[in-house]
Formats: sequence, C-alpha cells, structure tokens
Amino acid sequence: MNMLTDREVDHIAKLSRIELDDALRTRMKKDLSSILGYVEQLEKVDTAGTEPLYQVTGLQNQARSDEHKGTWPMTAELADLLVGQAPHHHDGYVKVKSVKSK
Amino acid sequence: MKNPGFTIATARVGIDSGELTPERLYEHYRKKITADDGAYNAFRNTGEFAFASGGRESSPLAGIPCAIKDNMLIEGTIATSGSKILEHYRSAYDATVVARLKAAGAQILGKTNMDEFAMGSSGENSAYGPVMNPADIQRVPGGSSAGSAAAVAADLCVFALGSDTGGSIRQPAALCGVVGLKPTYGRVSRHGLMAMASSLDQIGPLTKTVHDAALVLTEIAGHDPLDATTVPRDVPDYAEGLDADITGLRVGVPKEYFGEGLSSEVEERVRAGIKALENAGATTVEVSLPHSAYALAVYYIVQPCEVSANLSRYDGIRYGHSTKNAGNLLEVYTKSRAEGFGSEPLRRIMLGTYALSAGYFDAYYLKAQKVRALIARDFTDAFKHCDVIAGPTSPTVAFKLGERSDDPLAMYLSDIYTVPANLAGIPGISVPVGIGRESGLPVGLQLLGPMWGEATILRAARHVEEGMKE
Repeated sequence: MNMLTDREVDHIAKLSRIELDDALRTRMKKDLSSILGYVEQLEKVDTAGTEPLYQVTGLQNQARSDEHKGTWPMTAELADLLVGQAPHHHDGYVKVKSVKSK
Repeated sequence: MKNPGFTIATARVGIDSGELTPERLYEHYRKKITADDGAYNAFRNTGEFAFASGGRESSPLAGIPCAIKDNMLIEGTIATSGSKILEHYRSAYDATVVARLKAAGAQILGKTNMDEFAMGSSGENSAYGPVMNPADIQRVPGGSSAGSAAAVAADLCVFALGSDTGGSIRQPAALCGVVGLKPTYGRVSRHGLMAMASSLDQIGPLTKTVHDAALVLTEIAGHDPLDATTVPRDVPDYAEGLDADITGLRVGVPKEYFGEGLSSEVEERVRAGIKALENAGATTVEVSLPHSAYALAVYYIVQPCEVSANLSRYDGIRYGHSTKNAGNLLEVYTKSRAEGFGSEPLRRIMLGTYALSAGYFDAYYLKAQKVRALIARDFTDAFKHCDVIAGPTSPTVAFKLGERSDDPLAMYLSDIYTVPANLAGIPGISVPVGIGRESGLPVGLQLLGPMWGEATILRAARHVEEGMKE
C-alpha cells in the first residue's frame, strides 16, 4: 500500500475546503491510503472497449414546460425558511464576508 | 420473540371494523416511543409531530402511524440527516414521498436517527448517538437507515421509510429482522431527499411484512416532475397477485455470493429460504456474476465522487452550521465544514475530491464507471437464465457496537452483497429467514430482480416469508 504524503493530503483538503488539524491529517492520511489501496484492484479488470455507465435508466434531457405553477407562493414564512436560515442575512439577502482582502 | 405489533394489514382491519380509531392508534405508538426508545435511540425528533386529520380514506395507509428517515424533508420541521452541520435546519417543503404519504392519510410519528448523511453500515455514525438493535442492544442495527429499521423491529411504528444508496435499507432490515425494499432506480421520487450519491440513491419502505412493503411502494412510486430521474411508467398495485403461484419461477443462485467471508449460520438460513422457494414450486439455477468481487471497489470510488459534489452545498453560508472563528471567506468554508461534518463524511468528501482531481480522473472515476457497466451487464446476462436472484443480504449477523468503528474497510465489507444492485439500478428486497444458529440473531435473504421487477421479487419474498412460518 502506498501512503499518501502530508502534502498530498493537505492539497486534497484544500480542494475539499476542509481545515485539517494534525490529528485529522494523520487519520485521513491513513484511512484514505488504505481505501485507495483497496480500490487499486480495479486495475486488473479488462475494460477495453467498455463504455462507462454513468446512469441506468437511459433517460436523457427530461424537459418540462417552463411555466410558473404557483406551487410555492412566496410568503414571508417561506422566505424566512429559505433566506432566514442563512447564518448571516440582512433585509432578505444572504451576507458573506468580502471576497477581496482590504 | 417480541410481539411484532400492528402491520398495515392488521391495523387496517382494526380501523375499518371500528375496533381502533386512528387517533388511538397514534397515541398508542406515541406512548410506546416515550416508554421504549430510550433503549434504542431510533427516533431523532417526535416533538414536532402530531396526529393530522385529512387524507384519502380509501387508501390502505389511511390512519397508519409511520416514521421517516431524517434525510427526507417534512415542511416546517427539523431535518438533520444525522449531522451536526444541520442541527437546526428547518425544511421549507415536503419531500414528494412525504406529500404522498400525507395525501394517503398516513400519520407521521417522527424522524428516525441515521448514519450521518446516510454514510455508514452500522447506525453508529450519527452525530446524535448510535442506534441500538432491538434484537440485542449490545449490537448495531445496521445502517444507514438504522433508526427506521430499529423502529419497525421494536414496534415503535407500523412502517418506516428509508433510503438505500449501497444497501442502507436492505442491510439494516436484515440485521434487525424486518422487510426492506430498495426499488428500481427511477421508480420513487427523490425530490426532498437530501442528495448523497445521486446516481445510486433510492427511497423505499421498511416494514414487518412483504405485503406491507407492497402497499407502501404502491403509494410512493411513480413519475414526479420535480425529480427528472423518475421514469414515466405506470405503477401497478404491487399488493395484488402477491400470493400468486410461483411454480416454474426460476431462482438464480450466484456462486459468487456464497464464497469467502460469508458466515456459516447466515448461509444456513439463506439456503433454508431458497429451499422454501423450491418447496413453493420454484426451480433454482446456478448463475454467475463474475464481476461481483469488484463491486465494492467501484462503489467506493463512484459514491465518494458524487458525495464530494453533493456535500459541497454545506458551506456555512446559506444554511446549517457556520463557524464563529473565520477571518475571511475561505475560512468560513474550511472551518464550518471541519467543525460541522463527522469523520465519515469528511473521509468520503476527501476521497471523492482526490479521485476527481486533475490527473486521477481516468484512473479512478472513469475506470470505476467502466467496471460498473460490466457489473450491470453481469445482471443482464444472469436474468436471461432466471427471474430473480437469491442470496444473503449481509455476510454476517449484527455485529457489536464499536467492533468495526476504527476500520473503515471492515465496515464497508458489510455491504458487499447489497452494493451491486445500486450500481446496476435494479430492485432488491431483504426478507427475514429466521435466526442464526450460533448467535440467535436475525438473518435476511436478499432477492434481486431485473429493472422494474418489483412485482416479481415481492411475490418471491412473500413465498419465502410464508415458507419460514412452517
């Protein structure tokens, strides 16, 4: 089994938007390496000429009429359940920290 | 053996004869949950639910008390999916399955505990404490629909809904000794089900009898404009013809499902279940599913890849847990997610992110989806020679709490027989076949059918159930 390096684990964590402390880094390094070692067995399967199976029903481009059905009238209660659950919100808008540093 | 309590059918007789009222039945279960659930931790939330009048009186589910896995939305109530990150999340609408149950007059008792975001095979991964198996509270109930299976087994509800991505209905059903059905992909709407692995997830019933599973499926199945993966196909009355003769039914027995790793007491009961089918007139044929050995490896690439995309929505911005310690926007994401997710979601998000990252896509994701095609083709080939496939649901009976917690791979092996059906999209049902000789714990037999073959596997399961009574 090949062990992932700390640098690789940190890179995956960065892409995943997850902050790692030392204990979690150690644990994830061990667990991910062991699972990746297990899935390596797929290399042995001959898949030449096989198309990947991304979905099983064969449905494609399921369209429906583009009309307002009025199923969910936008009441104050519904607005509160939607935007009101944002940890930071103001006047019906979701607030986020500024993207650019000052 | 505990008194199994009411089935949909027996409760129906009671209500229709006037011996029971739906209100009294609901109250009966509320009291049972209060008295007994301390031992099982099957329910997450019952306080927000009450008896609701209305619904179709003609439905077999009218007035029947049920429980819903906590990853499905019920308008105005909390839905946590077993995660701390959604501790206070309140649903803005009803999932389609919930809307259909409400329209049928079914009565919701509460939400059931589960492995976090439906990732787990033991019911131990919940942020709200593990679920215990009613057959032995030192043991796990299986997962991830742990609370739904335990609630049905302990008679804390008449039936429950679960979701199955790699075995999460069938495996806990087997370990708790109840019936669990995963329908064909596209049979039941997932609108309002928290997405986990979107090419695999499917909702289905956990019940005390095969007949009950047929009744619930008939009510929740069908096309939904709000879920573009549902297939516009007629929904039969699955309960009709359940007892029809199965003489000549061809039961495929895959040699790959009876190999290394299968415990002898499970094999013994499963073979007894297959014998019951033969006694009812079915014939058995040996079939081969040569790529079975690779199903788990395929699953642990495809599933984490889809998880890493679906769980990116939990970002600390729009809803759910948000960190109090962020200095900038990036830290809002990284700290909220690290604080809010338990270790299994973190592991799978990172695994999926790695497999999809630049340079690895072909080796992992693409390769896995090609092997997935071979696994699906194995089933197509096998169903040329048989009508249903029979084998064990899980390689072992319920294991002890904590026994596999430190080894993710050992835990994943619990799903070795259930995962292939999700990869291929076919339906599967687990039906109890008695208790293991050594452990005295429940064993489940799994019946798999071709796409849209629910009626056939239900009929076969009904005959296994009947044969076990003898």
